[in-house]
Amino acid sequence: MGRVNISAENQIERLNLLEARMKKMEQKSLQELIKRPGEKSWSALEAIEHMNMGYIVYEPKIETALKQLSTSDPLTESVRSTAIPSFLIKRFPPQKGKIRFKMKTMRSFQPVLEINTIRETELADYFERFYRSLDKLKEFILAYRQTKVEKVRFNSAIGAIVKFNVAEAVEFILCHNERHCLQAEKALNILEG
Amino acid sequence: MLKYADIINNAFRPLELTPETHLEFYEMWKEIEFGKNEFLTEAGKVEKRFYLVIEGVQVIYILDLKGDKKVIGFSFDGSYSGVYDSYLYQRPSKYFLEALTPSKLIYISLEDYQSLFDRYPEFDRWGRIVHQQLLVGRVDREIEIITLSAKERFDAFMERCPAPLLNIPQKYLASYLNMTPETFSRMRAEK
Repeated sequence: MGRVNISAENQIERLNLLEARMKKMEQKSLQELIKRPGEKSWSALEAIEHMNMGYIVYEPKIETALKQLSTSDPLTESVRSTAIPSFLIKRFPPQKGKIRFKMKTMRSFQPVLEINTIRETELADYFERFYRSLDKLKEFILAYRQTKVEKVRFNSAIGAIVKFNVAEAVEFILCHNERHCLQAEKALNILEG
Repeated sequence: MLKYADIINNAFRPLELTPETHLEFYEMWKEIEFGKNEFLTEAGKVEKRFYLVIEGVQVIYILDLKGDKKVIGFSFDGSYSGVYDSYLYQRPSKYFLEALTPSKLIYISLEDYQSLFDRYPEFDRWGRIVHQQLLVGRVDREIEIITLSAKERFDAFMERCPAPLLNIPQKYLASYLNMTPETFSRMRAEK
């Protein structure tokens, strides 16, 4: 299993792309956003909420880790992920417009939305939290780029079995978001990009 | 921005600009500073500014499929800077523009830039000349990359290398010349 090479600039470019994709989804109506394409499938809004839930678990962990890292010169431009995080990270991003490796969502990350009771005025909150997460992720990338990021590791959301450094955690969140952004686009019948 | 009138006048040669005739033009420029390694523009964002560099060195690069940087060019004291295609067409940039040293620049917004050509017809002449220079410069570079050996590319570049670029990390110059940092370093040592 090859290890993932992580580049800060590549992560920033992908964050910007995710933002542009989300802006397109934001144009959709409430009806479209809450429509489930199948009985067991999530609506776009549920996929967005799942991304928000996935991110928020990591925010304090990353902030704590960054406080323990001191700045360095030159910049960290490329990080070679270790074996276990690489294994996990590589399973998430879609390839050629397809979601690979179907997996069951942990109960704590299930978006529990009463989608039929959501009002138009409540929609902005879902998108704003997503945009905020992208802003924070960019802040984290710019911060870890100035450190020897490999020096501090912390438990992933599935526990001590997988430990991430900040670059790996951001990569994992990005890959996770890319996967679920595609899922939301499919629910809305819009193409990626 | 009359304090930078000399730099502006030089960048817009052969136009003869003076505060008496072009005050509104000088006032369109705003000053901005970036720290070392700060991004002026990120890939995926739309360029909002056309810059003139007061001081500092900036690099423009694209990421390849592996995420490695491929340097397209540099800007430095007195030169233009910005992601021009993104600026003109207001489309997401394919490139990163990054300050390699602490940088001070002045910039003009797209709205002001476009208004120049209506407000001052003589700017059409500047536009023609600068676009000719850009086109010929890019073709010359392409020919060098395709036809010259690594050593010839190195020698040609070092002969015309602007002084501010001599102090930036070698990996950026190596990438610009389409060679490895090791090859660049060896050639520099042999020089």
